[in-house]
Amino acid sequence: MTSEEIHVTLYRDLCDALGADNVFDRSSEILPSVEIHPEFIRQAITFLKVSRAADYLDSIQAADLLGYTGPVSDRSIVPWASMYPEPHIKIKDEAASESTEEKIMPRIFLMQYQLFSFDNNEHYILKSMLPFENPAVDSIDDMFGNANWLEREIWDLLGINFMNSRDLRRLLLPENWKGHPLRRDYVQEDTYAGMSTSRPSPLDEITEAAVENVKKWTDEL
Amino acid sequence: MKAAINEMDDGLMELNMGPQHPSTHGVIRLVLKVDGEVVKSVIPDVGYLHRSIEKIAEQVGYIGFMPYTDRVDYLSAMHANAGYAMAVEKLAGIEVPRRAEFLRVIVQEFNRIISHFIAIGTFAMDMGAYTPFVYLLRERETINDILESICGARLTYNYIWIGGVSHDLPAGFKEQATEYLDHFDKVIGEFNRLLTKNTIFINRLAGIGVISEQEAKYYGLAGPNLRASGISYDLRRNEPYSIYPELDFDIPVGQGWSGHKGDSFDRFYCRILEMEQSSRILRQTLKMLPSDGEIRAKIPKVFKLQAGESVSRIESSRGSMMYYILADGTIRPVRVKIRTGSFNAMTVLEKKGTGMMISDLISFFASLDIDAPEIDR
Repeated sequence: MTSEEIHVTLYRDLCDALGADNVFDRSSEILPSVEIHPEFIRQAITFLKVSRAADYLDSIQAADLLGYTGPVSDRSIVPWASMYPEPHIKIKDEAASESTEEKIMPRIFLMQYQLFSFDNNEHYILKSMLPFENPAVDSIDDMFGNANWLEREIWDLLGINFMNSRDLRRLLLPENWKGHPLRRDYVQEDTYAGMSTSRPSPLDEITEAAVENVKKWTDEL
Repeated sequence: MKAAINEMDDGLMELNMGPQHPSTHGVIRLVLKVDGEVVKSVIPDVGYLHRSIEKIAEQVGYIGFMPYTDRVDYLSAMHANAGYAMAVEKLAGIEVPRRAEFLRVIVQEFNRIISHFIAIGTFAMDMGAYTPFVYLLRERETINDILESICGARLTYNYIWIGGVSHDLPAGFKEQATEYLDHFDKVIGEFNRLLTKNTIFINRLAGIGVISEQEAKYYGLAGPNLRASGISYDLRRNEPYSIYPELDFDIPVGQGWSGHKGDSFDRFYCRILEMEQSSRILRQTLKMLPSDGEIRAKIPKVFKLQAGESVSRIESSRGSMMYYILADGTIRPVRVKIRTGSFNAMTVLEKKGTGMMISDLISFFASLDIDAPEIDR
């Protein structure tokens, strides 16, 4: 089957299983991808695992979409739009006579589950958008052996919570690290455990005498 | 996680293996709870090599990120380069010249051989046999010389660029490479006599860490680890990319050579068979290589990607490596995600390592061919 055909049947089956109000067609992006209501993501994965033999979790990934204005950032078109904050209108330039309104979309997280079925040799991509305030989805660490680490990585780097996880700790960063570095507005602290997190640029150490020397040397050439 | 002091007082000793332990290659820490020699629990602690390469990608732009991909997996940097280049090319719609595709496959297969050299060499060293490691390092030096003659670097190549490759082959490359491959085929026979058929070595590996087909899928294993469990899945064959569909090669699958399908020995021997296949691929590509042509497609100086997403998967030395790029039309990506084989292979350790002897755990851990920079990124 081509990816378009996979997508069409996948969308139809998920609509049947979860209800059409909880599934949204995203065929304009990577195929076959379907957006799912965040509260139904676990149910959707269970469905894929049972009915499509998707028994291999390729990857879970998340992204902070602050400032991103692609097709996924418009929240008003999905049936469950009420769970996201309203976009607010910003007036760019009051003096100009033309319409200078700009719609600022609410900040959201993009979650992506990539599953694979060896039996059908098909990739399935499920997407889900989480609101910025208290982002959380159901954990699937009892369904796949590698899910726990993938979820821990996302919690560590992006601060997305996985409910009912058996062990949600930081994975890559130290346990007492502050903040989640892959968020777009993350600012690193100056020190960690008494150590400086930056070091002076070697360019700052260049003295005037050294500059003079180089000048003399290049003039001779 | 404090080692040495057991707060639970359950009669077990906590033992800290790593991060500077010779058999946890790179910097990986395992916190073991042992009852005598028997491991009662394994808790891996990773992140010592975390450089947040994915965050760097958001700041340096598409072209500037290429040298960083070398550091994702420095033992097979060509694959890490190629995966990223493919993901960008897919979204930008760049067509890679045919000669460049051949050069990419040549360097990737050479890189697969030297990556497996390190894998099985350090495996032998962990099992107490130092000599094979030195033998293989000697062989690796020769391939390093070959790769150096192409791109000037011996470890972090930065050879595969967006749209093609950075340099053409040097004069006399074909002869040099063919000469080495003739030598290489003899080396494998020699190495098999030295190590693979060594009874002591086989006994250390046989029946250790048996991973069934279901478990291999459940833990998301990839590459030789997956194939050793009996699943014939290789991205070069199942989701062909580049010029692999034109090439003739086999996919070695674990057969239970030591009596247990999916044990440490199967994972070890799968890698040896894979190197032989790489040699086969190399001979074909050297023969089929177009005599001239472009090596790099023209790309604009200010490189921007249209808004959208792109996924590329390639078969790295440690299995399926995936790059995911989310672009918003500027010169920098919004998100780059790298899925690696080692990261997923680490998850099997906690479950399977429990109940083993400490020495078996080392055999099991070495057989997974885990590479620390690939876990931490």
